[in-house]
Amino acid sequence: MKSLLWKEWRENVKLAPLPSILILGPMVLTGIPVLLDEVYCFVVSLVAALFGGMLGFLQLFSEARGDKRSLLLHVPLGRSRIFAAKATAGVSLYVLALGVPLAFTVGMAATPGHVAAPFAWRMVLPWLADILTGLVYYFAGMLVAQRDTRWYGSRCLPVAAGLLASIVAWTASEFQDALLGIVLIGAAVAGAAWGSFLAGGAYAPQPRLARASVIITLLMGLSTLGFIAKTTVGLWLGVPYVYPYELDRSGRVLIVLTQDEKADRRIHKITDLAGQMPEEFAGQRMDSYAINEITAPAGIACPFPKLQSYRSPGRFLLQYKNGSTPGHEAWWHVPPQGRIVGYDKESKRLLGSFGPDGFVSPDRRPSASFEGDPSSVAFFYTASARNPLAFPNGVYTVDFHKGEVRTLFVPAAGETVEWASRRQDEKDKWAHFFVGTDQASYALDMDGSVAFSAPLAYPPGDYRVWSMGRLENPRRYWVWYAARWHLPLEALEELPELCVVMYDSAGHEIAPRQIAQARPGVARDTPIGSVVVEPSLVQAFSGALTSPAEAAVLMAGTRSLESQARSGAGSRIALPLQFLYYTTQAFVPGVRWDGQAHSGLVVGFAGLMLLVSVCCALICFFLPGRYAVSWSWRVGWGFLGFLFGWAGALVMLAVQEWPARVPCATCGRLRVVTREACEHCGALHTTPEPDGTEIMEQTTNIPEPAIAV
Amino acid sequence: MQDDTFENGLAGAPRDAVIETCGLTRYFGTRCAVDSVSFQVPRGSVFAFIGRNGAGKTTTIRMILGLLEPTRGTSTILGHDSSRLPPEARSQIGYMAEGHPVHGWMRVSEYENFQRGFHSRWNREIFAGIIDYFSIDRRTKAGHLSHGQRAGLHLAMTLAVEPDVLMLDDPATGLDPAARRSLLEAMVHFTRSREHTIFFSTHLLDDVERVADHVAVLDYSILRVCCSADTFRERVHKLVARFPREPDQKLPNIPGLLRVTRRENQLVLVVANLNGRTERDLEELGAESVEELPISLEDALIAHVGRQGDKGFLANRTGGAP
Repeated sequence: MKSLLWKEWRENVKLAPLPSILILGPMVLTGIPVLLDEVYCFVVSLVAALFGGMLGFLQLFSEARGDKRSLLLHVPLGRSRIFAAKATAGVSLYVLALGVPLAFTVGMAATPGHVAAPFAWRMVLPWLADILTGLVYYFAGMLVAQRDTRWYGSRCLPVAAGLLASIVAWTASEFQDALLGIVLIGAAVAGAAWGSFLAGGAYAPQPRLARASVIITLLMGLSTLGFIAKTTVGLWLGVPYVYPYELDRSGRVLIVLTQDEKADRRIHKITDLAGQMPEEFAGQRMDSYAINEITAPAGIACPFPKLQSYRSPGRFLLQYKNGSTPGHEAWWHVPPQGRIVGYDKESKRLLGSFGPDGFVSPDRRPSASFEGDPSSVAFFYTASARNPLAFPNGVYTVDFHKGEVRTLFVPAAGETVEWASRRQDEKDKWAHFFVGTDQASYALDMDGSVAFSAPLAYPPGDYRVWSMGRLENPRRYWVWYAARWHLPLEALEELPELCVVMYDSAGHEIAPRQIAQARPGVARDTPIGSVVVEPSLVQAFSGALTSPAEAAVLMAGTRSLESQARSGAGSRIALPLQFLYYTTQAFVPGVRWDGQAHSGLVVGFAGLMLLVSVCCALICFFLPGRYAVSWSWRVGWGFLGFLFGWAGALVMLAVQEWPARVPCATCGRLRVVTREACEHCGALHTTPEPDGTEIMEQTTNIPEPAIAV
Repeated sequence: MQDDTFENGLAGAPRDAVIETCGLTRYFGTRCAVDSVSFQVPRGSVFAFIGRNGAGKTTTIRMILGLLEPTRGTSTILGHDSSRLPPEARSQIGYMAEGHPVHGWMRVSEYENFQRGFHSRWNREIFAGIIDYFSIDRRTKAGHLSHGQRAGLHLAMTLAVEPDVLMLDDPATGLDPAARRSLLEAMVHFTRSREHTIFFSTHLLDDVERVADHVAVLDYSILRVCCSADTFRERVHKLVARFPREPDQKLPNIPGLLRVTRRENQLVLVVANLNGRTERDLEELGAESVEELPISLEDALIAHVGRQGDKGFLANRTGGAP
């Protein structure tokens, strides 16, 4: 085995520098990146996948067929040991090839003076996950090289199984979840590669475990491709959700319906909540620019729940800047340390840090620390702190020029700050900090004095503050409430979509409240504002392409994650849930809209799904019967066809052996060539018809075997 | 004629079988590459496996070595089921693949170390001797060797393990006459011991005549011949039938007809399993005389192997030469 290990290493070591060149090369121009930089993470993921797949493919392809394979298999080693030697050499080479750039980058990032950002060891985890995912592609490459089938058929499907591993790695909440997914997917693909190697690419001679692995791998690949295709087509064909409400400068809620065909988003219709078009808009050409002119300026609350993802920078560092941040400086809030640290972008040196008490030099730490996490904006793999900094026990601004921290607001005992924003209006000449707590909303002047405050007008369990602002002539303040995203869809059907409460300058409520009742059956927004599509026939017809197993897994996963989010009152959202919202709502009915409101679509989806599944089950059961496949296998294929629909049927077509059939000399019916006895009459295969030229002679002392003639 | 250096003291003495196949069949899709092939290879024999390109020889060899799964049927080698050949049995089998594929980057010296790592038994003198004979520089990369030198490298690696059985798939392909002769001498030398067996496939029929004591002919997936070389010579006959004038176009159905060639007023027939009926059929056709001529093993094999497409009453396509 040592010889084989040496040979595999020696043959492929020339490929090892490639990842270093591809990953470290661009750093010559860009510098060492922040480890959680999403672009670099994607580059690493891509390089790991391509290199892993290429290495696995090249290791096996040249010895997958013909005389080279014969010579390889003829060495006095068991085939499993030969495969183990190849895999050991390949995996170790892969780890070395990807480990070098990882170690270099991490070493540089961890050493002060190379990156203008803080470093934490857990920031390495996304890179580690991507490198481990590359091993799935490695075994997928081996499987692609080995399988005895057409290139344009199922041969390249294992790569799609690798794609599933990448999706898991990029959408898992925590590293251990990603690792579990990678290990499970990788084990299946590795098992399939092993089995295919043993059998020379054929399926039937493989061990049982390997055959199961092949089926699982191909199912994963087909399901992944189908998932991506349905998401893409569903989002493309779907009707996008639009939140049509605006508040104008007179304090009136308008419903603005737009047409998206033109670049300027021509307005289709404007009405008030009663459905009447305001007279001042009659005959006017309204577009998005005109709407911006009449829309009341607002301080946006922080509707975004915290994103739970090991890839999100938010748990390690949040970039923070405001109008006083010098262009050559980068400042970060570091949650574990409770301080804001700054770096010079050019020299990468530490400039110092801020705590609630102010600035300190790089050799010191602030005497106090910011407690808790500040409100932030997070979208998949980016996150930044908002300005001003809103911590649970206070709101602060930082003046980077003066090196000062100003406490803008301290909540009362028992009150917790949830968000803060800054807004100024050039037209009416005002500027405020708006602050929201778990009990009230505040408008602060620039010096921090409270200009307005009002207790929350709606139960915080059902509603959140969406925005607030100030109107003039007369001066009023308004607070806009929206239903919380995590409530069950049935509840969202009952709750108003928005409630605007108006107050006078003394803080007294001005009746009536403006309330927009829920539009029945429309889609409900997702918490991080990605694309949402309305109910449509696209989702119903997607049932023909969705299997019961897929639908069950997706719906169960979504509901489970929603349940977890509800237990946290919607303050946090796991990245897998955001991902599932973004994708499944394109082709599965009822993800972000109430299924009872569109029962026809749901029934259509389910009906098509079951119809296709039954048809696939029947195909999977009856077709192999023509080729003398055993009853148990036929039942198994039928079950697979029902559970996985078209994917199950395609897998059966891809792996099931379809032997040649020849007429039986006894009964005349077509019989498979793989069986000694005819499956119809039991007659043995006959030897070829003699033509008189045969010259046969007993050459040994062993009797000639009896052969049917 | 067989080489004088080859001892053939086994005629008529049955021996145990080193290789045995029973109904061995292989399909590639709907094409049958090997159809119900059954034969036995005696221990200590030099067994020539002959057939045209695409007849199924390499496929059969790979199935015997367990490198290819048969569609149907079984085979054993050294008493082991081919599909479950243990590593220790493989170490007793030397295998030269057709075309002598090499890892081009590997140097000859590295090849020796590489191969030696798999075997407990390795004869350095044999390896060195063959390498030197083929004038191979050990520092040369295998990809830079000539075709003949690659064959020599493969031969060295195959014989250095001192196997009990040699399986050679068209070993002389691409070799010059001198190299072929050396290869044959090595094969002969190998089988001086009665315990060593050679099974080789080839197109070069003069090699067969020189070294083989048993022959098998694969006729497009079907085994037509499996016997000793002497038996084959005895059972294949060459007849010349002379006619007073150009013979009729239509020839009667002659059992065992392998090949027929027309030469002016003559028909030259190569027939297997002659039983007297053929001469009577020819006389009834109007032949003045039917004479049997000697035929070499090579010509007999050519007639057997090349008969597809030649069988029947042919117009002389080349203008006269048979």
